[in-house]
Amino acid sequence: MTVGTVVGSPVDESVLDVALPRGEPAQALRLAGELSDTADRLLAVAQGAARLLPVAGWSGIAAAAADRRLLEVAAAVGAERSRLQHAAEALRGFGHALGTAVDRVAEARALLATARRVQDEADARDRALSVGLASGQWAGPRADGRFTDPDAVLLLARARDLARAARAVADRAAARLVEALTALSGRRVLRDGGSWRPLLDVAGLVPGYGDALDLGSAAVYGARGDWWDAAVSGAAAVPGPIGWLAGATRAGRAVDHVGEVARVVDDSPRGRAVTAFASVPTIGRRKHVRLLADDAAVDRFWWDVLAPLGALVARDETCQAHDHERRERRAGAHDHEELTRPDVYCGDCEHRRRRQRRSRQNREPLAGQPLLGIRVRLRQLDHRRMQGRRPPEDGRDDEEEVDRVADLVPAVE
Amino acid sequence: MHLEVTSHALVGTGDAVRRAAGRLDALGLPAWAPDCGDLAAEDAVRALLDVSAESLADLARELRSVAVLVDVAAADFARAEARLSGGTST
Repeated sequence: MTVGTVVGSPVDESVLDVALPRGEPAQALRLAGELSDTADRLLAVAQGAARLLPVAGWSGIAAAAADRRLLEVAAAVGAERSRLQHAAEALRGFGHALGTAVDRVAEARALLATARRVQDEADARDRALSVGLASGQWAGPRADGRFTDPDAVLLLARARDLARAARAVADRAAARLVEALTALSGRRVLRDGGSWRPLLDVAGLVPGYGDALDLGSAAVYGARGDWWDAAVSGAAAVPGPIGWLAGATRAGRAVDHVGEVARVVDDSPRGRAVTAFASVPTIGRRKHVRLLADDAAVDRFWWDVLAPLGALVARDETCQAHDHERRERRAGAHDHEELTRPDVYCGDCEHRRRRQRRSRQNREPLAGQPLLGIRVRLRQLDHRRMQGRRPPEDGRDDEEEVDRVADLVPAVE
Repeated sequence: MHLEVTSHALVGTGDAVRRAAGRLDALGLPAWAPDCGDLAAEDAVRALLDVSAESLADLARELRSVAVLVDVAAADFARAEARLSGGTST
């Protein structure tokens, strides 16, 4: 693969009838590598945070809240790592595709050079043509630069096919990259394109009809509340130098702005939350927007990050319920004072305890609950189970799914 | 009496959470866009990097708030320790 900038010569592009693709595939691949490295470091951070998760065993509201928040943040870090990994893959695919396009452009150039050489040799064989071309007075078949030798024409056709293929590959790769990254970031950058407004402004310079157009533009801008633009368009409708100056200034400014970033549409969850939050009237200090990791992110985090770490909630040696059972069997009674911790359970007991607590929580209103997504999903799964239905999206057993998701809900006292 | 977790360990946990926040801050997300030969593609790369950088800054801030919660939990647990060991609760 050729690595380096493809600088399409305007001469080449005019001969090949296509705008040759440009870009640095090596840069795209390098950024992909950097993003992958960052994703790996994020995984280490997420796993480090996950190792602190047994905070759930601590007593007290603060510990429970810390546990919940830590789970959310660790899951969000895991989601961020996933996003960077997908972005790196998209960039890697783009880099390889752009490299292919660059290779094809190089082949097209080589073919074009060969075609030129073949045509030059053919010209050299035709003495009258070579003398005429050298004198600059030639008006025959090669005067416009078109190839006439059959071999040169064939080579040129192949070069054009390759150049068009390269353009298509680069365009498709760029479109795929934009689609993938926009889906990942939720942000779309809109640039100021050649809209009809500059055309109207230019047309407004025409005496007579142009004044009517300017008045129409002023009315449209006024109706939209763009008072400054309405005033300038109105001034452009004034006959004479004032109108010309206003119209020319306006048209020039519009042309200057073509290609600049006009707007960034933020459809990401954070962007939507910020917008929604800003629309809520508040009194006093406004808190920053805090995003919870969604259900899917926590699921992914569980399988990608927590599961490889092993038994995170294994607390057999300090399980309260087991201690109780052992002491009951041994002495017929248990001593609360001897318990190492008031609310530490092994995985099995913790699981039972959480399910009991969950059935209690499900009867409570959900509003304001943390990890709302998980709780809502639990309710949905419970409902489906009560209805005797299976989840339609996958074939996993409901019971297994409820148990798995239940384990994600931290202990709440 | 045997305590599996001590309030001292919880204080260490708070510091560990702060260190995790510091690692997020120091992650060094790339801030450059490659020459894609396509303006829309370069915009998309920049937008993604911006979103990721904002997200990581948010997460680091969240981790610091978790560290504060852990500190509070440590204080809670220190009181529980004192109570269990026969001391007076403060």
